[in-house]
Amino acid sequence: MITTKDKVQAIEQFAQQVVDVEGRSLWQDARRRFFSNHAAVISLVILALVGAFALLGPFFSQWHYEDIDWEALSDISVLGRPNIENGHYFGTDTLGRDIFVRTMQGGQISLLVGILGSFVAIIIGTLYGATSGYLGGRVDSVMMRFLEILNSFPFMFFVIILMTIFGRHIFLIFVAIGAISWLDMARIVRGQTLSLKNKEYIEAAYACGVSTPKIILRHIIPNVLGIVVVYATLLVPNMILLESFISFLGLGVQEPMTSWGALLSEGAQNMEIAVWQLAWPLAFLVVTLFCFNFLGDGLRDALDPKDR
Amino acid sequence: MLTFISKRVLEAIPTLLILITVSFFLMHYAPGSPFSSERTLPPEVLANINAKYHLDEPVINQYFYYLGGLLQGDLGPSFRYKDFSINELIAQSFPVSAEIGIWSFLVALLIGVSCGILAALRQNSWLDYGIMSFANLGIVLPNFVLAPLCILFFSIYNQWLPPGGWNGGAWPYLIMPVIAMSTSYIAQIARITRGSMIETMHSNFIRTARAKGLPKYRIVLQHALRPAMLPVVSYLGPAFVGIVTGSVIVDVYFGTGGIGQHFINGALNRDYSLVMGVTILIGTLTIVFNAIVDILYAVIDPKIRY
Repeated sequence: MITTKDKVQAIEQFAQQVVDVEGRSLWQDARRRFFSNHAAVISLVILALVGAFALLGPFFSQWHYEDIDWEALSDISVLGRPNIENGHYFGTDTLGRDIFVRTMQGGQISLLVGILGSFVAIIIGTLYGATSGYLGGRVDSVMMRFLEILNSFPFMFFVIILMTIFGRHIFLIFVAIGAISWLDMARIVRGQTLSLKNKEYIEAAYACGVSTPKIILRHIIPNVLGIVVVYATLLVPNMILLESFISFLGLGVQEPMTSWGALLSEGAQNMEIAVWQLAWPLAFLVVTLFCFNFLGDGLRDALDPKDR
Repeated sequence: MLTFISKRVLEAIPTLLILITVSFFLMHYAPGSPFSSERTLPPEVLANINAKYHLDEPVINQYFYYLGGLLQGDLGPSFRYKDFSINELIAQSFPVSAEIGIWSFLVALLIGVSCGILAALRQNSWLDYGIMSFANLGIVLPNFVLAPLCILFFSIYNQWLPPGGWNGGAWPYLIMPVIAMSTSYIAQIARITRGSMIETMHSNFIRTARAKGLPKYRIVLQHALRPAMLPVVSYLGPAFVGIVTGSVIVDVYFGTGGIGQHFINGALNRDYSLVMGVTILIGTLTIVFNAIVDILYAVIDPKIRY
């Protein structure tokens, strides 16, 4: 066939008209699904606001979290009420300290503790689960056995032992708590890994002589990341609740610093005479945990491969 | 099936032994001793007490003493409650926690499953949002806020119920502990049920049942419910153990005298044998109920064979 010049030109012209079809990655798909979920997006915004509030709030307060307002101390149930004029926007606690700034400061601790604990749990859980699932065979059954044994320990036993060892270093306690709450994470990641490890690209990597640790780190873990992210957002509220439980036992953060849990357990004792001591920290805690839960659900809908 | 059950039992023995060993040594190497209190005892008295409880011997000997006692079903004497053995303490408090726990479990199962099914059948309706918001609230509201709120509402403002105590488990004394105990479990069960129910309702065999023209309630009850309950059952095993072994918050606020308080007090007072006793109890129950869950799985899901 003889191609004439104008035919070639016509084809070239046509080729220029065809726009590149833009490929969408799985992550882009997930992002689209996530942003179409209003509850999750709103939760994300609220969480960002709460975080900013906890970080920046103390700068807008007339009081410091350690300051005692001696005037309010004389009659907490009247002078300690929430009041714009004297700067106690949320009222004061029984020692005359400003609840507003303490809620902010407690928020910093609670959020940090929640994120720290989950972070440790997720690192260990992901690595453990991916290794166990990928190696399979005897190693897998031994690793799973170990997990089962850890699982039969009462969780509170560990928490209490850790508290007696670390005393009141709340961050150390939560690093350690993170180091024991990775069991579910490991199980989930292992399940995912089992279905991933027979995929062609893993086989290809193996055939190219990629070492086992590298396959796990480069090929398995990035592919289970979706479910890990979902689980992480659901783990953070659990950690925050656990911190509040420890504070309820009177073993949490060291005075005069505080956390939402510590504020709540103080507030719960005085709720008949000074309900604001309970209400404000509780509102922040409930809103934050709500948002984390909705965020987690939204992320699950966006990232869970089962629903595709 | 029988071989599977006996295999599970045999597997449980080494697990339990490891549990005992690890918790024993952890407990002993944690700082502090049962008799190091503010009130300093004369050294001779301290030595006598230590000798009585074998605390002056190497830890490994103490371990074998403990294991020997355990084989005879003896959990040892309490280091704090001088006149009680651990067996007595547990025998006293476990029935209380178990009674609260079983009621809470039934309540949580009934309400949780029915809420979850309702929410799933009306997915993305106001009913669904209402139920799920309520469930989320149940998860995020800490127990120790819920318990005093209950007392405030039921006993102080309205005087409907006694604010605390146990009174042999008469029902007015049961209601508030059951509410405080079951709320978060109701919420969890509702969430899990909803999720798996939605998934099941989208599966092929449900479409077939619908195409056959079965009424909706029969589709739900006869076809969807059984497979949808699988994830719930696997949650229920550990949840049941958690629920019958009580909660320190319920014990503190309602003064019920369950087992939850012993765990915390024992640990804070460094009462080795008390903590060990409760740990062994909870560990054993966990292993037993995980095995029961596995067996139930096989009963519910005919695809699973052992």
